[in-house]
Amino acid sequence: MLNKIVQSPQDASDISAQNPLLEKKGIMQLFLWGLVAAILVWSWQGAEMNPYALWEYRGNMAEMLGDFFPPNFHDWNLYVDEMLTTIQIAIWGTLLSVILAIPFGILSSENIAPWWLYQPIRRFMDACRAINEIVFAMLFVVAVGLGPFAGVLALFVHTTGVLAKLFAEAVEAIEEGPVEGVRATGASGLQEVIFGVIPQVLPLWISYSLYRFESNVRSATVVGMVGAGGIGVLLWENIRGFMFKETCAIMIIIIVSVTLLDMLSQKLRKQFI
Amino acid sequence: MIKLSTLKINIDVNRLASNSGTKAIEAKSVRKTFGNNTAVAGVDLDVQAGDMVALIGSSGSGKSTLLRMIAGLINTDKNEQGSIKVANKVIQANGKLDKNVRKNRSSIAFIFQQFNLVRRLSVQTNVLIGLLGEIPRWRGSLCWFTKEEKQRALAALERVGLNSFAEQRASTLSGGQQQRVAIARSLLQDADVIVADEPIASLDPRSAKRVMDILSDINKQDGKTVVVSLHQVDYAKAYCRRIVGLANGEVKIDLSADALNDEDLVELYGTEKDEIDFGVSLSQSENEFVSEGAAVPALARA
Ligand SMILES: Nc1ncnc2c1ncn2[C@@H]1O[C@H](COP(=O)(O)OP(=O)(O)OP(=O)(O)O)[C@@H](O)[C@H]1O
Ligand SMILES: [Mg+2]
Repeated sequence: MLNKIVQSPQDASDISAQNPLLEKKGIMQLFLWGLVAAILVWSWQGAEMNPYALWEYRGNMAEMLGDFFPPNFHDWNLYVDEMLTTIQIAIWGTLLSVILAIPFGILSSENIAPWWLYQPIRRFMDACRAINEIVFAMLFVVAVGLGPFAGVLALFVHTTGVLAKLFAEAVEAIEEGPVEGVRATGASGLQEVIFGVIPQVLPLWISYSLYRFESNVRSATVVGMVGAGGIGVLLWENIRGFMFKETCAIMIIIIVSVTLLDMLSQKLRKQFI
Repeated sequence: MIKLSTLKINIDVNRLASNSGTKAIEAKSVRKTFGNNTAVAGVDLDVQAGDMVALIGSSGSGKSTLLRMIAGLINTDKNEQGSIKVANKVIQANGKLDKNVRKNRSSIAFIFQQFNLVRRLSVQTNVLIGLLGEIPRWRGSLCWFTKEEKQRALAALERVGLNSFAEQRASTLSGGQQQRVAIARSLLQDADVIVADEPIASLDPRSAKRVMDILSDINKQDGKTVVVSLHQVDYAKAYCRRIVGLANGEVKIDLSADALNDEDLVELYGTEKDEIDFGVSLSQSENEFVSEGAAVPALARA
């Protein structure tokens, strides 16, 4: 609606005077803006927004910031060690999810699977995706105990949901012609997918997987906070113990490693597009 | 400059005689409607093994639809009498694709107007795809081709003059080259019947002639049955022995190429209102090579 009016502002204002239909559109628009404003006010209250607090407690905050510096790198080798564990969690969490997202992604594509197959699989993937890694991490800590493996499982379940959806979108955008070309040779359905579909989507799939790896390294730093291994465990212990100089050192290590991995993975992704 | 009229077709009479009687394609009462638009309105078509048949007709006359039904890529309308057999294998009957259609498709090679290669795969792999219907499913699915099979792919590429391109990605080739790769794929498929749906419609005249030469060679040397839909009547006359003309989804003419004359064509295309289109498309695409005395100039005037 907005588009239409933006596209032809003159027509709109010229005709609206005589045209009751267009006048109605104007009223409708006013109503929508009112609704947006109401939602904003409503959520401001719910979220207990209080910018004044930033000013009121500025002294506290400055003091706390001061507590962070200088960072204390005394235990740096421990931090680096745990950071590596975090990366290892991300590697396996991502790899397992890529392996499962391939069949789930293909089977939830409208142009490949029948509706009675892709509908339930899609809903299942929605469920995996809807729940945050942290929640899965808490559950897996209960199920398999404290430690990195719980983190791997948490990332794995959530990322499978995300990648299956992305993979399916890529499959739904392929050219039909090459698949038909493969079909015409007498190939099986599976062979149509292997020769006709996968070569077309592979670059996108690789790129999505690497992208999810980057984001899983970030997520892996948090799952540790609920006991699922990696640097998050240290982070949480130090914050709870008010050891902010150590906390600062850990955060710097996280920032540096995440940035490096992002850059590396981005370079790799560019290779495939 | 290519002169089509200088082309000579030598029909191997002995081979034809030995094949006579065997039918490569048997299509009975084939219909297809899309919504309430009738694309093919009850066609009976038999093609003798070893023949080379042109399917002509104006745009929308149902050529592609008919060919795709023959290859089992789409099903016909439900109809008790309707059936399609290719190389004595049932492709479909009564509006349903045969349950063995996936396997049976390997006896029909299909050449598409848009080539339909897998562009990111190498030329050689694209050719090897032609073997998928023949080799064990598990081996094909693992992309496992023997040395001998790879040699066959190279030989097929050599035959279409592209063996030096084997390692390249298919997307790096020109349209005419891609169509020749598609033909090499059909060579590996070793199907009895080759169905080509406007194989030269998106090619320049030089590549078009090359593609038609190869198809004709496969027909003569290997004895494969070839059915090819064409927009250009002069190509049909120069390369094919039999010409089937469709209009509004029905067979309007069915003649040997020698017997086809201008009146037949005027009738075939003229009953449609696109007569003018036909003239324009001919003079546009074909003025690079003038075929003296062929139907073209006469028709363009008509
Ligand atoms: N998938 C489809 N859905 C709906 N209608 C279709 C479909 N395929 C073909 N048709 C219709 O069927 C009729 C015959 O089409 P077809 O493609 O077979 O003609 P053609 O002779 O191959 O034409 P051209 O020379 O333009 O390729 C046309 O009216 C077309 O619109
Ligand atoms: Mg067509």
